[in-house]
Amino acid sequence: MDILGQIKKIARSSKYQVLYSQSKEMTGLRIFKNEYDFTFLQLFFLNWLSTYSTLYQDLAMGEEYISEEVIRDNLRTEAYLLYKKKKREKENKKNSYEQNKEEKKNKGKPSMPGVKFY
Amino acid sequence: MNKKQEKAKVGENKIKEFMREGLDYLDNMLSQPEAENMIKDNKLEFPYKGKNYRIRKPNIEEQRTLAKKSREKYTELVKDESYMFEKQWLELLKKKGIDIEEMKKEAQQINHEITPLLLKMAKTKDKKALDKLKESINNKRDKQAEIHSEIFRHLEFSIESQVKIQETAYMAYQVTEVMNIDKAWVPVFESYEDYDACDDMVLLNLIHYFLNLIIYKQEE
Repeated sequence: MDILGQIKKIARSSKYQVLYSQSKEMTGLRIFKNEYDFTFLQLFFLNWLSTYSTLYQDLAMGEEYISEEVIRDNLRTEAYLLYKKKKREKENKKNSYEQNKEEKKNKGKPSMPGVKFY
Repeated sequence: MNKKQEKAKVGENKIKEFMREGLDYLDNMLSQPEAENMIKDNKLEFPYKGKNYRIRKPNIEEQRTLAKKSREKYTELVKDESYMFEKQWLELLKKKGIDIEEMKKEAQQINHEITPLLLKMAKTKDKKALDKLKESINNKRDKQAEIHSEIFRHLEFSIESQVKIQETAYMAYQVTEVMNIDKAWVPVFESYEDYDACDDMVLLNLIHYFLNLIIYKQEE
């Protein structure tokens, strides 16, 4: 028995993925009876609804290492999310380094190219 | 160990028996449709021995009462010389050869061991390799859970733990309701003493199980 596993299964189901994507277009759509004061379970569900939506988008875009099999497997999903996070961190670090390099290169130079200061 | 601590120490086998009964009950109950019902509302209903119970979130007044009761409990325990703060327990246990800080570091280290396994798993498609990685990760997580369980057992009687335990128990008394013959929801327990005196361990386990699914715990 694993209630959180069951909730993840519900969050990735086509029924709730369609509801989630349609709720952005149709403001009247509601998943919960309550409009506020959400439970831990409801917040957990919402978090995974959004996460699986992103995963299905990755799948549709042909991203590496994602498949239906991965999405259906909780541990493999966790592994993929970690890989994605590390990949993003690496890219941000690389972009930050290149930005710094560019700034150092342009240090002291006028900020308006083509304008000469006498 | 004083009387309250003794009372809290119900026979370990008895607790395991009740937990097994509770888990079997949940296994039968928590199919996907049931799980789906549990997210639709901020109240969780469950049947037990022919009656319908429900756990809801505490209202503002109940939250204020709960905060007051927690303060009172905290004051009571601080004044009681047989109770110690967690920090004092850590020092005492260390003298007896049980280093809780080291155990916490060991548990944290397991996370560092699991990360590369997960990253390897993300890029693996071979079923045999995946099964091996899963087994390795699950074994490490079981070990981690064992360490956390042991830490909890050692610090269970600290003032901080006892206040949390009492807080949860008091909240359970406040928010547990049963449907009466008029189809109205009424409190199960007339008073906190009534809750404390309840000897139906399966029911209490179910109440606490569902209460944990309702209350969003802030990260410490």
